[in-house]
Amino acid sequence: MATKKRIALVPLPPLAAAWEVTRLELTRVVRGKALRAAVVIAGLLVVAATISCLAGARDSLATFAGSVRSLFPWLAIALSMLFAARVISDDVDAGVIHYWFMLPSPRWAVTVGKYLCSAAVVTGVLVGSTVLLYLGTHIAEPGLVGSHAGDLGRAVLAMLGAGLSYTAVFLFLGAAVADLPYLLPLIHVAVLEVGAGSSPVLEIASIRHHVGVVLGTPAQVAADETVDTVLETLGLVTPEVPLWASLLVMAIVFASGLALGVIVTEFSEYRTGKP
Amino acid sequence: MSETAAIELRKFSKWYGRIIAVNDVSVGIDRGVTGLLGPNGAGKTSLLRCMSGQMRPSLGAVRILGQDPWRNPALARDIGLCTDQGWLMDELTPAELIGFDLRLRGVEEGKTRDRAIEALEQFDLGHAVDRRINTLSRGTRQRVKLAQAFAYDPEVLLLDEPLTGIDPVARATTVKRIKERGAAGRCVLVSSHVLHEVESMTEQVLLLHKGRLVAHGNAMEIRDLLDQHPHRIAVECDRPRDLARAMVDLPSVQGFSFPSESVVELHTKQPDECYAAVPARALEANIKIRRLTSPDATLEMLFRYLVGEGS
Repeated sequence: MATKKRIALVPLPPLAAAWEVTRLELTRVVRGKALRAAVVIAGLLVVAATISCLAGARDSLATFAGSVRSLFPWLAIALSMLFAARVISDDVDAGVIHYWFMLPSPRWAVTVGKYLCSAAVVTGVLVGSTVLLYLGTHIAEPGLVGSHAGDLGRAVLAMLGAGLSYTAVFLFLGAAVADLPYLLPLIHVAVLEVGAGSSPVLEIASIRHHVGVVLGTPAQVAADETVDTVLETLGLVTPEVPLWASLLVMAIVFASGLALGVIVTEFSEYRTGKP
Repeated sequence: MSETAAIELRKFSKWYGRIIAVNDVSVGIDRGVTGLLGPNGAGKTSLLRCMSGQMRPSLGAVRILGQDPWRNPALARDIGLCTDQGWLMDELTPAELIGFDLRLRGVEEGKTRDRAIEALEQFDLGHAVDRRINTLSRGTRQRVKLAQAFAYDPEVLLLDEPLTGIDPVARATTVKRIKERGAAGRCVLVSSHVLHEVESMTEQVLLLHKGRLVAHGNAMEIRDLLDQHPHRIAVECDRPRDLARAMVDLPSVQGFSFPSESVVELHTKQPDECYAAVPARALEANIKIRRLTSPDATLEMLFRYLVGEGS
């Protein structure tokens, strides 16, 4: 049989391929419904905080800082669940995973590309909402916009850290049990963010605590005065963490989450549909 | 086994927990079109997934162009895969999906769209280029998958039930494209559970049954086996006993049975003659036929016959 000669092509290098995957995934996300839902939820939070500020309940900075500290870590968790935990499982459900793993690029490049998309969307919504919240809470006092810019900067940094680390962890946990993508992320949230995050000393293990440190207002868990005294006597006091240490913790969480996510997808056999 | 085989399986087995999908298969598949025939659940999809590097063999080895396909992106550029399930991203257009694929395979960004359109037009999909995939019919989606697999002209094409959902006109085009690739020296493996579908593309077939390779050879021989296989033809009509009387003198009919009040089953080893004779005899006897079916002219029955499970 005569073999017709093919034109040899050189596939893109892995990092360039990862970037192409990110671009394609962003197109999919922009056309999907999840992003619209996320923008609406974040927008409602901003509007609520703005109204509360206009009603004169609190001053601009207090409303901004309070809203970011109390609401935005949970928004980061919710968005990361929505955009990162299902990154692999949605593709397994739709049978698309076989398409990704038939590309002439290493699986890690595909996973990194998909992660970059999730992280870009989550941090984009978080940072965008933070900036809008800042402007919204300063609407009644526009003269203070410049003087509180440092607080805005810390809030943006905190949201970047929260977005990058939560998406990496949830991508890994969602890919590890692709049949039940929310199972491990929910356990993570229950144990580390709610359980440990609400306990003296243990709170240092939660990402939420470090987000608070970066914001400059760590959510120290407080009990009543007597309990606090007893805890202090026992030496059970959450140590003060410097800003750089919290940023380092978030960087480590991000790197290890992404690395584990890559390892899980690299060696998994995903079965879809019929055997 | 040919030394030049593009696809080679050596004592290949694949199981999922306690379910054995493919059991101890050794075969070499040369360039050209080869049919992979087997009833549903025979292990065809598992075999194709291991060949395409999606899964590892549980035992034995798979070699595509001499290389192990598992986690081998360098080999992935030489393999095209089209499955009958999933695969497409609903939010994209066919041009975007194929363009992305071509981009990763090294086609310049400015040329990917033109190449994607060219690939789609090969399957008469010029009208679907910029439509969202989730708005396309099942048959069109299937052809988009084929266009994607053919777009970069891979050395090995693995097509899992490629004609699923495709209308007769598009089927003819698809079969033509598959044969063209085979004639151009590519190795094309087409899985199907329908014998005549594969017959229209190639004479070379592999028969897989319950995870085992039961035959490897020419489709005509398989067809002969099918013809020797005792057939039943069920005729649903208003007077089944009269129809039996009208056909009793036909040498090709070996016997009758009456599974219900309105059905007569003809037993034959020459089904083609019988199919031709039934309408004529019914017309002569003024009998109204409501339905003509063959309860066992399926590949499943052929396999049962081949492995000695059927009568």
